[in-house]
Amino acid sequence: MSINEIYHTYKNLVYNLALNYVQNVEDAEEITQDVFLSVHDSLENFRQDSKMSTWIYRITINKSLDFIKSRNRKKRFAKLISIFKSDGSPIHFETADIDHPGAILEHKEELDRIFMAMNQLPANQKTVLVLAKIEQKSQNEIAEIMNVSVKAVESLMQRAKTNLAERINRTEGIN
Amino acid sequence: MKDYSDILTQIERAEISPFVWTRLQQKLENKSTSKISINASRAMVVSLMLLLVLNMFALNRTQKQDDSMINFAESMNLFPQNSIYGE
Repeated sequence: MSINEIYHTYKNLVYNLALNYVQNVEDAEEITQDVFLSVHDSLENFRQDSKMSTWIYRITINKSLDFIKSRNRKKRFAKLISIFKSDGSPIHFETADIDHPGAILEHKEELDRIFMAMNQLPANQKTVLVLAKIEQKSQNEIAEIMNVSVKAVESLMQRAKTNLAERINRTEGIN
Repeated sequence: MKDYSDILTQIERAEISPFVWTRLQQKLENKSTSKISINASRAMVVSLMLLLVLNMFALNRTQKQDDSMINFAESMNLFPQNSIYGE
């Protein structure tokens, strides 16, 4: 399979998955390009013992998490710089606002709130939520993608739901 | 406890912009031109090896010449030393 065929088969899978992690069109497009560059580079090393879609899912998840880490690092650095800035002028740093094109207008406000809380969850809990709820994957498929047992997926799902509810309730002042 | 995650199922699929493919193609092309081709790297390795072999051959030859000079000096009693009586 050539990179052209792979791109046109999996472009929307990669883009939507990245979008669910970063909730921003520009960032998701950048991650999509990064994913296909990696696919192109390591296509020769791809072992046929796992499905190509599973392989691409893994690359996309890793790239998205790396992107978020680097974005957070930049944010922290910008905060630090602003402390030491002598003139006190605000730093113009591009904050990635939540801009998910798949969010329907009537649910947008609620979804934004949930995304904000979801972004504070540990990476594996966020991944389980994204794969199960947005990508509608079965527990077996999630276990295969994440390379963990089905039991571990169940447990992660439970913890993710509890943590999500706790974070939302805390921000809304509900006990 | 309320399950807030169920609202996530309401998210619709989005379509990627066609320009992403154009940008990706550009990046792939840039990558391939900046890389040294396999044939070029093979040729470089072969020429380096050849240079190394030639050097070793030249060194070996000079060593042999030196040996024959010593043999000649010995046969003619031309000892390259300061001891007059050959002690």
